[in-house]
Amino acid sequence: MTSGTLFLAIAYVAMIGIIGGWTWKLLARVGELSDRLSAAESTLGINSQNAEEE
Amino acid sequence: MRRGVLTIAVALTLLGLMLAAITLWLGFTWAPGVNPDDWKAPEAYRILFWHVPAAWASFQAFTLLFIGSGAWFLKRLEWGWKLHVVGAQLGLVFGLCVIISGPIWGTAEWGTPWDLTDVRLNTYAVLTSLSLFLVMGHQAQPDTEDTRDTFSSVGLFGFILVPITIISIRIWQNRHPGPVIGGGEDSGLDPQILMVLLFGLFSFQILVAGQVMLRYLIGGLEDRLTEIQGKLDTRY
Repeated sequence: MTSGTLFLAIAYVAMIGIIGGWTWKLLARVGELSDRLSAAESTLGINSQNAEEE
Repeated sequence: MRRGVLTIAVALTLLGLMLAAITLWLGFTWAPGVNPDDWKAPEAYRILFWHVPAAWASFQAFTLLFIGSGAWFLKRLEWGWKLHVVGAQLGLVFGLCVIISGPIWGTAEWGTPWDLTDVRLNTYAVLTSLSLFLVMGHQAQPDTEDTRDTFSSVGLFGFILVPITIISIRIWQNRHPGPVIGGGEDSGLDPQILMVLLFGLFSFQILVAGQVMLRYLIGGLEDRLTEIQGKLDTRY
């Protein structure tokens, strides 16, 4: 019983870590790219709204 | 447009995570226990509430990989290559969830993490290894048409393992449990357990949809950034 619960806990910690870590990485990458893109577009004087419609 | 898609992608991802967390909560608190006389580690059965949805999510990812690989290899479509990359990465993420949680469950229930004579375990391990190969290959190799062709052909032919893996527990069932849905009269689950499992499957569908959109969007942002940086380099 106890060991079953322990295995259950280990399995879920591993799965939460994988899915959570991957999602965190995706969200962080989107944020980083959006910031860099905004900075580059403002340097070039591109309106991001217009650029998206190009 | 970009912000609208980004908002939808983030919302779907977060909703998927929230629903997956609710699945977990239901699985631990609402789903009944199994007969302790029939199971060696009855509590460990609750691993299935994420293990099975993760497996289905990985099959969806491998389907995207197959479609993307075909679109690139046969038609040279750029979206096809992007889909190939998304499919490989998501296939690896959900494949790892399955390949890690499965042996943990196996250790608790069977007393051994792996059985080399079980077709289901082995074909799924090869499938996950294939996505690992592709993800590592994408990072290590230059992005040329030749390398895209090579990886796409792997994605195309590797997909054959998906139907083999799915039907393996019907044809060559050994140690891995048989199908819990549509597996005949004796394979039915308790209605409450089945309900939580179906809720979990739905949750992971939402999560996969959000993550596919997010990853696809990242590819678009990277392309746009490269284009803008090219303009900046020309100007300065």
